[in-house]
Amino acid sequence: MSTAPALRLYPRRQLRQWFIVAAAIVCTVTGARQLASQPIRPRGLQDLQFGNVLPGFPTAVSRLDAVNAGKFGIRGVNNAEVQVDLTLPASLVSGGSNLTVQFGPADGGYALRDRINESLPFDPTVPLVTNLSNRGRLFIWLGGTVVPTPVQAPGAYSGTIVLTAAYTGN
Amino acid sequence: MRLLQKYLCLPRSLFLATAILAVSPLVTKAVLVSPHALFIDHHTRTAQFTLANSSEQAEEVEIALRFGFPETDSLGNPYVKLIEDPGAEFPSAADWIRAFPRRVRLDPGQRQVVRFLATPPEDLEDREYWSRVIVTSRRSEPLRATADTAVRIGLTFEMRTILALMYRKGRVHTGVELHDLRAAATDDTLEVWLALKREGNAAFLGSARFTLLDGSGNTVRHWQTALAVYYSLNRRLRLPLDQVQAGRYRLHVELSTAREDIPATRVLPTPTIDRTLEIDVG
Repeated sequence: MSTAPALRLYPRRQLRQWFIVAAAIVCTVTGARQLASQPIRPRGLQDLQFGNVLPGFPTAVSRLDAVNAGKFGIRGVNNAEVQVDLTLPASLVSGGSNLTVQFGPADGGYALRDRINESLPFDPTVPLVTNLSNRGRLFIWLGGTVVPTPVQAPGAYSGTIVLTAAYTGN
Repeated sequence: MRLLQKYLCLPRSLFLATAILAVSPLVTKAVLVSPHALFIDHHTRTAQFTLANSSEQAEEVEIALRFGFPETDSLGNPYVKLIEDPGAEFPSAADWIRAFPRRVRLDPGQRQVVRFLATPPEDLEDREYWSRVIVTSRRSEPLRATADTAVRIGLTFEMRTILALMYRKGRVHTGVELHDLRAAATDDTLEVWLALKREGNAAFLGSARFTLLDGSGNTVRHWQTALAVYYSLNRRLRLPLDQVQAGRYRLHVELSTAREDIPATRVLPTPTIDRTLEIDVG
């Protein structure tokens, strides 16, 4: 007698609703845990592009150049402090020929949102220590200058930029 | 009517469920390494992590172990100090832990478990040993470079993620001494200096919580940051003070090993350190 009214309070359709809501809450809690232990995820979003250059004429790409500046994205724990280190080549290579590439103290830019015009300058030759946004994001742009000599040999010159990212709290 | 109610109620709950799921974390396109810190126990001597390529291109991934730990420079900025050939004075595990596989090619969407196997020396003392795991990923396809009469330039990227690895043997314990605590408000920033020294035989993996209280004891601002002390650390933290009115405040500082990003079974409990400072803003 005492259990019958209780059963009437929870008909099948309400139980189904509660099940769906409970399942969603479980998924969200699991997601929140994943968020708290999120690994740091750097990725290259756009290569630094100088295109074709003329021998004897240095060519600079600004960090504010949305089309040609190199672009990286980092994701991780919301607001976490990270260290970002760029290893930059001093020269580019094509067969046996070298081409000088330079990175100045204002060639790096970083922002918490994907807005190149909001980016703050930093020296890309010095490690950057900053916090991710409250959505766990950081964007980095990189400019630079190539200095071909007047007798620079034609060819496809290539080099690699290494971005190293780590949480500072581990 | 009951039938109508039945089918009207279901979409409402589904909508609610969808709204809740929408705030779950999203996976971005990158090589993902999970978890971000590894703990190996002397009994099992193994650990593993998972690599996942969520990009649209194949990636070459390389795993290396190197001894290192976080330190601070003279300005109080943290950095990971990597030591190529650590002497016997450093508790390095980098030489006797191996990753399998050490190189892997990941096609788009592919996952790979990487296992770590420890073969420590026989006479290993009880304590915690450290290494950093360096995961390097690069595009599998090389840059297309066709030589012609022009000077063409292409720069590509390599991504490196550094993770902490802790190997624990026997009874391990940690703690931290707070030697110096200073704080001063400048413009819209509260600059805090913490001089810390680790105790025990394991790294202090903890957090610092800062609470700014007004004259009535109400919380005005709250900040939290993860802290890792392997030897000593002289950290400078810059906490934003935007929209905090001028006046006298108290800054409450709490140091503990409470961390949400480390499994509870791996947290080494320590007594919490509490300090309070008077701060003038404006």
